[in-house]
Amino acid sequence: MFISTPSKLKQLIGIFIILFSAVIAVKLYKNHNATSQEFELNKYRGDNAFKSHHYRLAQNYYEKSLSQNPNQAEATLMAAKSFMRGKYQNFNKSIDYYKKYINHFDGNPPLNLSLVNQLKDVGMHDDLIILSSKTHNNLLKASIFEELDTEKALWHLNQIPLDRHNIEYYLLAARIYSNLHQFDNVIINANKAIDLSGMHKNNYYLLSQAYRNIKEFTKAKTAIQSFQILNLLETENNNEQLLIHLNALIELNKNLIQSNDFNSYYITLLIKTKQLDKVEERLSSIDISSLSSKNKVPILSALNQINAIELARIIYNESDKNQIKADEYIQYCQLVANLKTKNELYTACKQGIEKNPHSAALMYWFAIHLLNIDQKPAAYRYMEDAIVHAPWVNSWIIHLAKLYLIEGDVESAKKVLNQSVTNSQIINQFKLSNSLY
Amino acid sequence: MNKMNKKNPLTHSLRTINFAIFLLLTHAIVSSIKATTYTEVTDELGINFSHQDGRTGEYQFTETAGSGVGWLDYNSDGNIDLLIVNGISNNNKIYKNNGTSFTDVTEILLPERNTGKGMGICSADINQDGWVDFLITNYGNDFLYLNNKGKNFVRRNLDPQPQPYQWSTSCSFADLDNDGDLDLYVVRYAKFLLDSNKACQLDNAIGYCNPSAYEGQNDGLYINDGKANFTEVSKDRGIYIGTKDRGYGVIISDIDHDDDMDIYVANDGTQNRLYVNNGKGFFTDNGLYSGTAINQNGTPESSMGIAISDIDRDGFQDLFITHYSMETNTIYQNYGEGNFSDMTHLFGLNQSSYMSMGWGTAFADINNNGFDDLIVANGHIHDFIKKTDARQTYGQLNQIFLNQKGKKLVLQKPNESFALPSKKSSRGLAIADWNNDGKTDLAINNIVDKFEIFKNTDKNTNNWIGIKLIGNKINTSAVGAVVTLKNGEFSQRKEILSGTSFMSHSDLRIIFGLGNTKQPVEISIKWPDGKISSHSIKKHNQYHTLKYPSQT
Repeated sequence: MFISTPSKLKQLIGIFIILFSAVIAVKLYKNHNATSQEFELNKYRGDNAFKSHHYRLAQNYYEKSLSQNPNQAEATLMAAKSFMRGKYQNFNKSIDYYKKYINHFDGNPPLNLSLVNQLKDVGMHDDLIILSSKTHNNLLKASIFEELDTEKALWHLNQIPLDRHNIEYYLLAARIYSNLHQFDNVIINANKAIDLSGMHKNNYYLLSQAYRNIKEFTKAKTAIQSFQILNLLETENNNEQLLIHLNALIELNKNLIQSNDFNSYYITLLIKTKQLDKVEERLSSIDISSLSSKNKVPILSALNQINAIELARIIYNESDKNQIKADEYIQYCQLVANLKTKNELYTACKQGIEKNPHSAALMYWFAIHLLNIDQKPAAYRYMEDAIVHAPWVNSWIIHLAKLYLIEGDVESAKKVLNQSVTNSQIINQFKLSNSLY
Repeated sequence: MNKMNKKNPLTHSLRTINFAIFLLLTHAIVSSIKATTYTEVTDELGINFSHQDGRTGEYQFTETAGSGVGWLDYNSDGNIDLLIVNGISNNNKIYKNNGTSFTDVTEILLPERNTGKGMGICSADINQDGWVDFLITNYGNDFLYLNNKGKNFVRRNLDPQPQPYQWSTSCSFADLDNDGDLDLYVVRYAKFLLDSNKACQLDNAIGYCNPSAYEGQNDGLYINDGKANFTEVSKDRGIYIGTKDRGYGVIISDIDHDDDMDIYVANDGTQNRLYVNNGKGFFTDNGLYSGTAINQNGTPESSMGIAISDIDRDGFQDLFITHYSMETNTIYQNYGEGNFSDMTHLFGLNQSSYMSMGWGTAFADINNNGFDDLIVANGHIHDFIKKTDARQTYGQLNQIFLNQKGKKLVLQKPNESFALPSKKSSRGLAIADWNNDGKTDLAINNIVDKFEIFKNTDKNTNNWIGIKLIGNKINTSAVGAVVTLKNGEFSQRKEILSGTSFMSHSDLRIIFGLGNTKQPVEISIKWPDGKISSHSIKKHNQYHTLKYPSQT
C-alpha cells in the first residue's frame, strides 16, 4: 500500500526532512548561543581575574574566549596586557596580541594614553605609527611621535585646542619641549602640570633641568628637592614618615594643597594614621565632586580598613555619580556589606552592579549586604553569579557552600564546590570534612 | 661593412644592460671598499683567544658581565700591546705587538697569574718607575700587576682584606687627592654568592635573575702612597656606602673644569653618581643636580659603560652611557660649570639604541675629520632572549655612529661599519692605534666567543697627529693631562684617561683628526699638576712625544 502510494511517501520524507532540519537549526542556534555566552563569560572571567591580579587565570580566560571568537578587540587587548604581567609573563605572546589588536584597531575600545605609553615601553614604535594613522586624537599622536619625531610630536601638540589642555597635555608638552631644549616652554608646561597635579615626580625633574639650563639655580634646586621627596615616597613604608615627607613637599610648593592627587594621598595617610578629625576637616575644604575615581579609591580603601562608614557616605553623597568607576563602587559595596540597614551606600552598590553587571567583586559584596538585610534568595543569586564570574575565589565558594549546608541543601553545596577551578586543598578539605564527595 | 655598422637593436640593448650591470657592480664594490670602516684581523695578527666564564648552565649571575680588554705598551717600544681579561682563573692573556703581528707572551710576563673570575682592567704607571702597570678586577680578589721594566709583572693583592664575595668591575687610576701620584677607583657590582646561586624564572624560560635580586656592593676609593701601596678610604671621602648601587662603569675626569679629578660612576638600575672633588680628594655626589644621574624623564637607567668626549667641540667633555635594551643609550651634554643636559633625542640616538643592549663604548675620530665618532659594543645577557622577546637577539651587531659636526650621531649601516658584520654578545671594548697608522682600531671581548681585533680600514685621506705624553716623575703616564689642539678656527680637547668604556682600558696616546688641514697646529697641554705647555706641530700624520716641561 505504501509502495502503491509513492506521493504520500514523498510527502512523509519531505516532512521528515523539514522536521530534521528544524531540529538541527534549533540545535545550531542553541550551540551558537551557548558559544556566544561562553566566550563572553570567559572574557568577563578574564576581566575579573585581571582586576584581582590573577594574571595567569586572566591569560587563560582571554585565550579561551578568543579561541571561541577571535574577533574581539577588547579581549585581544586584555590578553596582550595580561601576558605582560605577573609571574607567567610571556612577552612574545603579549606582543603578538598587541599586534593583532593594532592591525584590527577600529576605534573600539578607544585608544588611550596609558596604552600608548605601554606600547612605547615595549618598543612597539613601528606599530604605534600604524595606530597613529587610525586616531584623530592629537594628544595620542603627539605622544606616539614623542620619541620618533619630536618636531612632528610638537606639531600634533599644537593642534590641541586650549580647552583640551589637561594634565596629560602639560606633562607631554613639558617632555616634548624638553626634547627640543625649549626650556622656557618646559617651565611653563611643567608648572601648569604641577598646578593640576603636584605628584608627577618626573615632571619636577624636567622642571629642574629646564631651570638649570636657564641658570635659575635656586628654582632648579627647589624642583629637584620636590623630585627627591617624591622619590622617598616610593620607598618609604611608614605612614607617619610619609606624612612628614608630604608636609615637606607642601613647604616647597604651597599650591599643592589645591591638587586633587596630592589631597587624595594626604587624606589617605591621615586616615591610615588615624587622624580622623583632620580627615573631616580636609574633606570639607576640598571639592569632592572634582576628585576622580582614581583619587577616591585609596581614600575609600583606607576608610574601609577602619570601617568609617560616615566619612565614606560624605564622599559618596558629594560625588558626581556619573563619574564613578567600578573600583570605587567596589569600595562602597565593601563598606556597606556588613551593615544591617540600607543607606545611600546600598544605592551606590546597587548602582555599581547595574553599571558593571559582570564585576564579581561587586556581586559578592552586594550579596553579603543582602544577607545582612535578610534578602537571602537574592543574596544567593548574586553569590552564585559572582562565583560563575570568578570561579577561582575559593573563599566565596566555601562561604556559599556553608550557607547551602546550613539550609540542608547538600546538592547545591556540592554543585557550588565543584565550580572551583583551582581544585585547591581548602576545597578538598571542606568537601572531606562535610562528606561532600 | 654596411652590415657591420648596422646596429642590431637586441645586441645593443644587451650590451647596454651588461654595461649598466658592470657599472652597478663596480659601484657596489667600490662603495663597499670605500665605506667599510672596520675589518676583523684577529687571526691574521696571530691572536687566538676565546672568552670563557666557566658556565655550566646554572646561570651564575657573574656570567652576565663578561670581561674587558686593555691596550698598554708594557715594554715602551712604541707598539701598543694587548691584555685580554678572561672570566676564569689563570687565563688572562698578554700579547706583544710586533708591529704587524702579535705574540702570546703570557707565560713570560705573568708568572703569578690571576685567580678569580676576571672582569676588568685599568692601567698607568702607578709606582713612578716609567713603566705602565695595571690592575685586574675580579669576582674575587683584585690584583695589581707591577711592571718589572718590561720583563714581567709582579702580582700584588690590592686589598689585604677584600669584601666577602667581592665583585669588582671597572676601574680607573687618577690623581684624586692632588698630591701628584695616581690613586684608584674600583667600581663594584652586586652581592652575589657564587656557591648559592639560584636561577630565576623569567617569562617562559629559566635564566639569570634580575639585578635587583641582589644588593649592591660598595665601590672602593684607594689612595696611593706613591709606591703603589693603596689604602681604601671611600667611607671617609664622601663615596656612597650602602646597598643600592650596582656599579659597572667609571670615568675619572675634571668634569667641572676646576683643576681636580671628578668621578662619574655608572650604576645598573639606580641613579649614576657624579662625585665632585673638593680639590683635596673629598667628594660630594652631585649627580642629580648636575643632570647626569638619571635620564631627562627622571628615570634611572641600567647603566653599563661610559665614554667621554667633547663631541660638539665646545670645550667641555660630554658623557655617553650605554644601557640595557628597551632603554636608550644616553648622551649628557656638558654645558659648563658641571651642568649637563640629556641630549639623547637631539643627537638622534633614541631609536638606534632602544632594542640593543650596550656595554663597552668609546669616542674616537674614526675618519679623522675632526669630530669624535662613537663606537658601541652590544649583546644581550640572556642566551634565550629570542624565546621571550622575538625581536631581540643574544648576539647583537656592534654599532658605529658618525658625528655630524657635533649636532647628531648617525648610525652607520652594519656593512659600512664592519666588513663582515657578525652578531656576538660583546662586552669589553677598547680603542688603540695598534699599527701606528693614525687610524683608531678596536678590540672587543665577546662573551664565551671569539675575541676580535678590528683594523680601521676607512679609506679617508684625512690628516692627523698622534700625541704621546710623558708626564712628570710621579705620573709618567700623564693621566689627567688635558690636550687642546687649535686648528684654525676650531679647537679640540682630549684627556689622558685610565680605564673608561666597560671594564676596559684604551691606548693612553691620543689622535687628533685634522680633516684636510695641512697647516701647522698649536697644541696646549695642561699637565696633571696644572702646568701648561704649548707646542707648535708642523709634521702631520705621525706621532709626537711631548714631555713634561723641565723645571729649568
